[in-house]
Amino acid sequence: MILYSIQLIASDTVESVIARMKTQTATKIAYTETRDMGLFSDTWQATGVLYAQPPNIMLKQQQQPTVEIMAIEADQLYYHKPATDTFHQMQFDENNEMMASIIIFKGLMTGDSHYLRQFYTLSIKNSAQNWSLLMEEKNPDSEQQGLKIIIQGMPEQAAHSISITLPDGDEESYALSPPEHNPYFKQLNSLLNALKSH
Amino acid sequence: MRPSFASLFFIIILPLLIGLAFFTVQFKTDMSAFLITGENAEEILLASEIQSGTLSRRYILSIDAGQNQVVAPRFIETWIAKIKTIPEVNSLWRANEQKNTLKSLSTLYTKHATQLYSREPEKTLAQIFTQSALSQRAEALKQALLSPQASVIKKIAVQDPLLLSLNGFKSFADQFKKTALQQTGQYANFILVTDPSGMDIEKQRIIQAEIKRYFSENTKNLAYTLEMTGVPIFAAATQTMIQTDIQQVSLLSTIALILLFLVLFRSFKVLFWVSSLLLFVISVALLTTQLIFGSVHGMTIAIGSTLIGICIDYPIHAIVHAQGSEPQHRLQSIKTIFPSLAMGALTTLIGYIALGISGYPGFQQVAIYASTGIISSLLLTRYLFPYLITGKVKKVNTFKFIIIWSKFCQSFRPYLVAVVILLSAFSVIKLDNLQWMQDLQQLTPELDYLKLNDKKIRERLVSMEPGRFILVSGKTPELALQYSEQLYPLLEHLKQSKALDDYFGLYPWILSQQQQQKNQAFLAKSLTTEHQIHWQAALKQQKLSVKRLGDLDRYSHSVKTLTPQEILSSPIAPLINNQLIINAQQTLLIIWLGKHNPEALKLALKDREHIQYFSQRDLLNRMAIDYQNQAEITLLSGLALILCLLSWRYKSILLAIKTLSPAVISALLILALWASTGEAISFLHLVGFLLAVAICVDYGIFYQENRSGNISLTYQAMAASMLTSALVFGCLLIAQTSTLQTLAKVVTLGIILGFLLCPILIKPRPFIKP
Repeated sequence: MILYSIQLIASDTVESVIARMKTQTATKIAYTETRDMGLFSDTWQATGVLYAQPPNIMLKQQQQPTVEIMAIEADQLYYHKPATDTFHQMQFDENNEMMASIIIFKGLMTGDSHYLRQFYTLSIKNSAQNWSLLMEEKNPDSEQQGLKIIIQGMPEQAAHSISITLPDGDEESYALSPPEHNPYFKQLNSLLNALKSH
Repeated sequence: MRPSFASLFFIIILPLLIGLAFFTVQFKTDMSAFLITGENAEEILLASEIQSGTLSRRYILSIDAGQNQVVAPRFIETWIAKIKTIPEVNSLWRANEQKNTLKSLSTLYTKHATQLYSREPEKTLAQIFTQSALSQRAEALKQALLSPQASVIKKIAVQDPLLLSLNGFKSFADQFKKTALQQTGQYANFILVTDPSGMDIEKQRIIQAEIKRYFSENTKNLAYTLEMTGVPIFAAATQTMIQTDIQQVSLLSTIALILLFLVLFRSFKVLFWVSSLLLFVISVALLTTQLIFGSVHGMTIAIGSTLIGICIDYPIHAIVHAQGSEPQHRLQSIKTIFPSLAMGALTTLIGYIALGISGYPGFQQVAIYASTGIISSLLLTRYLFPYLITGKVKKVNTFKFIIIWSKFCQSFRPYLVAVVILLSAFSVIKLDNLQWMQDLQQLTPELDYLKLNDKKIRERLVSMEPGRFILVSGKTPELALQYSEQLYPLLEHLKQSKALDDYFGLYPWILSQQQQQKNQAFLAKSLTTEHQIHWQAALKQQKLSVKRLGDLDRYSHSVKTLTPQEILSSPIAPLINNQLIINAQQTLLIIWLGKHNPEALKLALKDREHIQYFSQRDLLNRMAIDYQNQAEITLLSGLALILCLLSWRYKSILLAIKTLSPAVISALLILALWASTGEAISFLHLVGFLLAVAICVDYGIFYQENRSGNISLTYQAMAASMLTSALVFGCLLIAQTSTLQTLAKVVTLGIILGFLLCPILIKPRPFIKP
């Protein structure tokens, strides 16, 4: 009984895993992204770095295979691909499934479970090896299967992977390095300013 | 008719008339409806659309978070949800909304890719169907599938792998990019459309109050500010201004008239009957105007309220002459002066009719309103009023100034005439310096704050000029689209020559059926097996699925063309329904313009059938010149007609000229005054001028004819009526509406001068018994 209680206390909860990644300072996470898409003949892979500065800034810097930068500040989304000199600025649409990864990072970095619960039903599964946070889209398009996300991590540690299954069956997964909570303000802001002033 | 009968009849009829007027008259306050009209069918349709159509029901709401601040997305979400719950709010969306646009691309436009991919299919397909271009297209497709917009691109690509449906939207994206770059997140802009017309002020006021309430309730801890613009805002502000003016002017002129009456006639009874007579006259005028026009404009009442100053002249003359007589002689006294009153009324009517035939709805109303009032007042004075004056003999209070002035004029008449002639000659010379107002917008400087606010808010949206655009008209939507498509190459040329920064037509949203069919046929003809091979190779190179994206035969299938009606019933309708006005007889298509050189555009579009460069400011300025010319003609025609009438009456042109001289010279002196002070005069000055002349001619007639045989009494009566008129017109000076102030200045000054000039310029003829 005592052992069982200890196990319960030690288990990760939705709030605890979200709170674990929450940061008050600018944070940097290295990632490897893999996509399996129906319209591609091969798996597509990319690597890069994610930056977050609570409460409103998220920046994704893809380094391989091509350099691309995408950032969200408040409700604006900025995108730049230097190789083709492509630049977009648009309203950040939280209902866009391609923004799911950004929404998740934003929710995790700000420790805002309320924000995530607006879009997803959250449930957690614990095992001796890891915890799994399952997020299912709340109001999927009636014609399609809803968006499904699984975030995983070692017990009492931050997330190390995110898998996203899109409504059309395409899959995206992110392998994450542990978050670095060093003061990345300067780096992040110079990247963001360069992007915005493009 | 016995006195009691007359008063009883009048007392019963009056409340019935007032009640009828109160419950049946429909009031309007739209300034543009009063002043603006179109010169041709297109402009009239456009004016009506601006006044009551979709364009009139739109607001732009702009929330400012302050410098270096951003409007919080969560606030925006809550705000949109709350505003949408306000009754009679039809729709609300972000001004830079893209969700519906992107959704429409994958639903509505993908199936019409073969029809809408270009305005110049030969050129576009030549650029697409080369081996290198297909390779680049495959690479671009891959990038798009990996971009944040991948969810939409995937849906498009499975039906339209070459992404032809996005082709036309490239230029649109460039335009949007320019706009987006200007946005910092400091402002959140929304378009709100209401169910009721923008001119339905009562409902619009409720909506505006609710918007403000929701905003203040949700921004208690935020330093946000809300600004609004749109036709309903201007309409509500104008109505508030006119209503305030009517209330304040009515109150002030009523109090002033009561006091003046009590000083002049020392009788509440007289005051009561004169006021009742005026109420009767106003009710009849309102009901007649309503009957003829279906509604009465607030400005008609405001300008028409000066009618009181004219209508009151007749009973005042009647009182001055009748009250001094024994009751049994009163009817005869009024009968004696009636021909002068009738002649005076006729000359005033000529003035108002001249105003009415200028052809503009607002002044037609004023003319009908005033003419009805003048005729009713004259008839009531003659046929009812004698029976209402039942008091004892009472002399009217004399004005010392009048006696002194009369004596002074009689004593020094030749010198005074010389001075007046000199002043007139000087005035004629000065007329060369008169400045004409060329910009009608200057007529409403009191709305400048709204115009500035409107400009400021619109600058946060897109760089297009709201008051200038190209108007394309056609009997059907198809014809209008065809005409606009013929115009696009010219606009591109103007862009290249830097005469035009940008333009916003209906492409890429829609093309004419003719162009869509041409595009479809040309694509089917151009597509070859070789292209298919190149495309599949390009897909393989980019590691894209040949199986799902490699088949180009799909572009050979014929599909039904897209119609404007389909778009207008789709979610993107709000994006284009301010550019397309369709009615049974005609279709108007508006091409919005970015910064441009108006002269270059006017020249380029000159002599093009169905196409015209439209500038609201130019239209207003053209109208200002038209009004001015019209007012000059009506003024001179009115004067000529009055001169003919007086010549016929007096059988002497010289006598007629003498009778007219106080009116004409007072007008001349006022014009010289404006010329000296540099005040720019508009058609409204001329309208006021016409009124002043019409009233002053009455003075000339009364003084000339002197029907009572007592010139002192006649001048006293004239003084009483001049004071009441000057008082009523003078009260308009407190109005916020500058058009009313203009009228006040001109008429008040005109009638005072005209009155003072009478004893100088006219030698009353000996009394002739009728």
